[in-house]
Amino acid sequence: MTEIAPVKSIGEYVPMVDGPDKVSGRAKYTADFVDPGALAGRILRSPYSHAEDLQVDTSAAEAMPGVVAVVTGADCDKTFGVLPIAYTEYPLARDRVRYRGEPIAAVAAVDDATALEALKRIKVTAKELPAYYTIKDALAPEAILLHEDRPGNVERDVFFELGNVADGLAEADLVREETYNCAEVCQAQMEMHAALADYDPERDRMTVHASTQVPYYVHLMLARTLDMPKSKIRVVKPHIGGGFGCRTETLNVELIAGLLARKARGKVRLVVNREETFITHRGRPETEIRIKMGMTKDGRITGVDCETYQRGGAYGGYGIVTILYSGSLLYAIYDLHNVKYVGKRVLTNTPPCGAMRGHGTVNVRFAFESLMDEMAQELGLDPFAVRRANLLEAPTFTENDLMVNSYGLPECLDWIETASGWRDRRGKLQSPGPGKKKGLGMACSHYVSGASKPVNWTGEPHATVHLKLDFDGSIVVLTGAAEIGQGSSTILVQTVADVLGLDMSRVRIVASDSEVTPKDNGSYSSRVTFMVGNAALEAAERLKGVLVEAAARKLEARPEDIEVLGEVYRAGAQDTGLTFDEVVTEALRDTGTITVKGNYSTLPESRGGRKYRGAAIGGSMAYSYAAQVVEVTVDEETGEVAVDKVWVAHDCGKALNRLTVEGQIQGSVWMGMGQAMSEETGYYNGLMVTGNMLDYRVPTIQDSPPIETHIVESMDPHGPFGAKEAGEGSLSSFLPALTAAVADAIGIRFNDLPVTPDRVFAAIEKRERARAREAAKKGAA
Amino acid sequence: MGGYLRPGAVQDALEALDRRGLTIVSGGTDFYPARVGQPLDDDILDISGLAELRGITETDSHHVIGAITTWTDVIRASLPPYFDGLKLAAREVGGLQIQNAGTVCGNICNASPAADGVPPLLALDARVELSSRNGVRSLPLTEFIIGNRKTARRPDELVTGLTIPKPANPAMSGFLKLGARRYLVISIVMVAGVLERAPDGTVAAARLAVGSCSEVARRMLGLERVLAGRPIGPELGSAAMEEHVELLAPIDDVRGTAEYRQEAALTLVRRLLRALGSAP
Repeated sequence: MTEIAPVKSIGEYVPMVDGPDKVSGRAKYTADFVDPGALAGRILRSPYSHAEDLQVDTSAAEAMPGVVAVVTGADCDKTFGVLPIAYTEYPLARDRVRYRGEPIAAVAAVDDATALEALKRIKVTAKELPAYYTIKDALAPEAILLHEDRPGNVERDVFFELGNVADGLAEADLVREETYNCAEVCQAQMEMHAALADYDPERDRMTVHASTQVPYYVHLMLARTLDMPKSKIRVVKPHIGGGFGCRTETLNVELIAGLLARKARGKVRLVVNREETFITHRGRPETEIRIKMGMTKDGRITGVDCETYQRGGAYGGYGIVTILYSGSLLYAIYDLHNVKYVGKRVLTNTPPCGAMRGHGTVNVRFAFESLMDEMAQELGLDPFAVRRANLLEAPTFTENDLMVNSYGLPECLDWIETASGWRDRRGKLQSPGPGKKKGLGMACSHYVSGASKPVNWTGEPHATVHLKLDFDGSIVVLTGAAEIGQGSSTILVQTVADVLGLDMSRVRIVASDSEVTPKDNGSYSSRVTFMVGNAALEAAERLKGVLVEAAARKLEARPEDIEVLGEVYRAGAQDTGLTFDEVVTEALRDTGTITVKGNYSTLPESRGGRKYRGAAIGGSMAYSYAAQVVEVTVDEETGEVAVDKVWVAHDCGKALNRLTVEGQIQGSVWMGMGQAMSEETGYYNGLMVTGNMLDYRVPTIQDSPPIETHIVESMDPHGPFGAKEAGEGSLSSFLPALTAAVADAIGIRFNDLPVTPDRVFAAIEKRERARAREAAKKGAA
Repeated sequence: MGGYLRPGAVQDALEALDRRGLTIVSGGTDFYPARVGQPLDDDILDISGLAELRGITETDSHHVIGAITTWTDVIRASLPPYFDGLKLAAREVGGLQIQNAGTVCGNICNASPAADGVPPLLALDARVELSSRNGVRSLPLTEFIIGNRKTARRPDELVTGLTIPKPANPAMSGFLKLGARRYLVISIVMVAGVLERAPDGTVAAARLAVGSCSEVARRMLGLERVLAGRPIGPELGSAAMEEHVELLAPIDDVRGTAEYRQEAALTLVRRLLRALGSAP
């Protein structure tokens, strides 16, 4: 007789539960819901960057045969946004437009061609206002205000000083100050924005399918902008083709679809094109950073003075959170004291920025690590030594009250140092050919595992999961957690199956349908594995309790003596026991269909401090850590930089699914590579000129280097099975590691991103000219 | 939608063109992207049915690339080494799907300054064959493309193919492209070259062309004269001087500055010559 053993899936390489649907093409994305009865929606966008007295005449469009509904700003006087203190946008502009491409009207018609033709017949006039495309112009004293209640065109000013920076810098053996500039980037996710809104006029109900990471927030904003009770609305999130933060807030697309459907008293399918998806933006802001740092001879940081300006675009969005994260997450990676931070989130006449992967941390981490590296070099210290001189010791609370219980950064450093052959290879790499030089660089990074205090604070548990078990013996996980390709559904199925010792095929999942699934805040800030995972863990334990009770009753044993072996429950090794199905039948006798619930709430002490206004932002139950070494070849004759190899280690507490964790780490590195080397948005008088996949240069597979990943498991005491964040933390260390590698190769450090061939070439030329001048001077002397 | 014709014989196509102006389409890889979101109201002559114009044929003195020969056809064809540059360029035209549908002749008729196919075809000394009801004429490629998206084709004419003369001597070729990523990118600079080897090991003839650095890709005639008669070896690279790329007139755009393009063009020309000179 073979030994019966519970099935374990946690910690294994587990294919994603929705993989077969995606690979075979069965998975339906929002745009795939093509209903013959659905009207085609189209949006008319502002030709102005900044204008007032907006007049929209839709009469000719409305008179067109085939046009069923036309909506403008007049149809909705409710603002929306993501932070309750920053509902600053209208679904369709009213009176004022603030960026080129902002929606001003929309049409629902019998077909797409009719809708497009109708857009042409809408007459728009306005009085143009001065437009500001740069931080400097928007902050100029004579600049008019984009929003009357945002003086100086500043969405939020942040200031804190913890400790005493002047004293800290005075202690240092070396003080350096540098400025950094990171271009605006966006997610360029595969799936373009789409919404299908279905209004039922008889029952006054609205159902919206949306390509979103946050169905709950979309639900709230639909209720607000449609002025409908929340109970009349249903939001469904189908399969999603990538988010990376561009869908962590309600977008105008979803709300416009709702407005059109209600006015048309029917169903409207609104799928925007690639350029419109780019213009809807919500990417990472262009950022200017000035950092001054003090360091002792042995590499210890004694003080940091950091000033950050973000070009936030025309509306608030997540802006306040972004500028706060940039300050608060200076902490929680190194042992820092004496930190001053000034942050300004600036409003400009460009599309609004958002919460892009690594939200708020990436650009500041680039600056911080770059300066640290440069100072180490000046002090004659190895880049690893300077990081090791500043490590935290967990458990601890940082000076800004962030709770760190697990800290695998030292192990990350050890692994990348050994794996990359750092000690033997750095400074000794052979040139691969004429004009070519090689270099190695490294850097560290970290990220939160969910915001401990969500932006929409209601006091409810942070996550709730329901489990249903019925006569068929299958377990259904009901969750609001938004699977966006990151693998959340797989993690939740694994969690439940693993606790019960069952094969994952016994467990199904239904996610993100407000009619069926419990509310969830959504997929952002890497919260799902930690929070929803913990809720699933609790639910699964409760279900197990119910089944053990039933088995005990049937076997006439005490519950504590029941051994759970997945498909068999028995009372001791001699007992043949009951099959899982028999246990289920017994359990159903009492209550009928079994439903259990698991909740999760963060600890109050993880919710950040009160030492400055906004100090709650940054508070998390756990932080992930990452470190990477990047090896490059720089072609000094063309300025091309090729990444030859990346070694990256990531501390995710415990890898629940090694396959998806490795994928997330590789994806983070790859996305960081895009920002560091080729991606940037470009505008011409406010018109986005890079709104396509050719001019917005995401790296292709041919640019992708071999990426060697290593998972560090620090076993967080509060994470589900010890797990914490895995999908974002590895991104930001790529940027400074890349520029450090380039500096190692050619002796030039780039403080501005992206490091494109023409910029590298120009910097080399500049250096050569300077050298020539020096030589000429010497010759003359 | 306007009119749509898909003839099966060249003569029918020429008669249609003689009657009225038509937009000629084969793979459609430039045609459709230029009309996204717009109604297709052009009167179209779809020549993809002209099977006689597909493929590469060989005569005693020439190769002929038919008008609807795709980039993939070029990549897969068995051709002498002086076509290597064109084959390398073919792999740079969009992605695989574009290479399967897009045609070599369509690339030259579209006449983009960044057309990947033009520099190698210039280096091959290609001539363009234009047919109409009134007969056939042939123009050197340099006279066919006359500006940014402008060609010498008359509205009643159809480009039926490209003729490429066989070099008098053994020849080799190459192609280099610089972009801000390795693949699926509009080039900042590209360089193509053909080098003919005289029996004594010197350059019998050199033909070099630079694309993306002027309205129309340019032959480097001055440099070609300098190269003629020099011994073939890696030192050919150092024959290229700044004065040789002065005829280029690059522009600043989102892909690179004019200054960078000019410098990078010289670097790429030197590299190509060094590589061709070092080839066995």
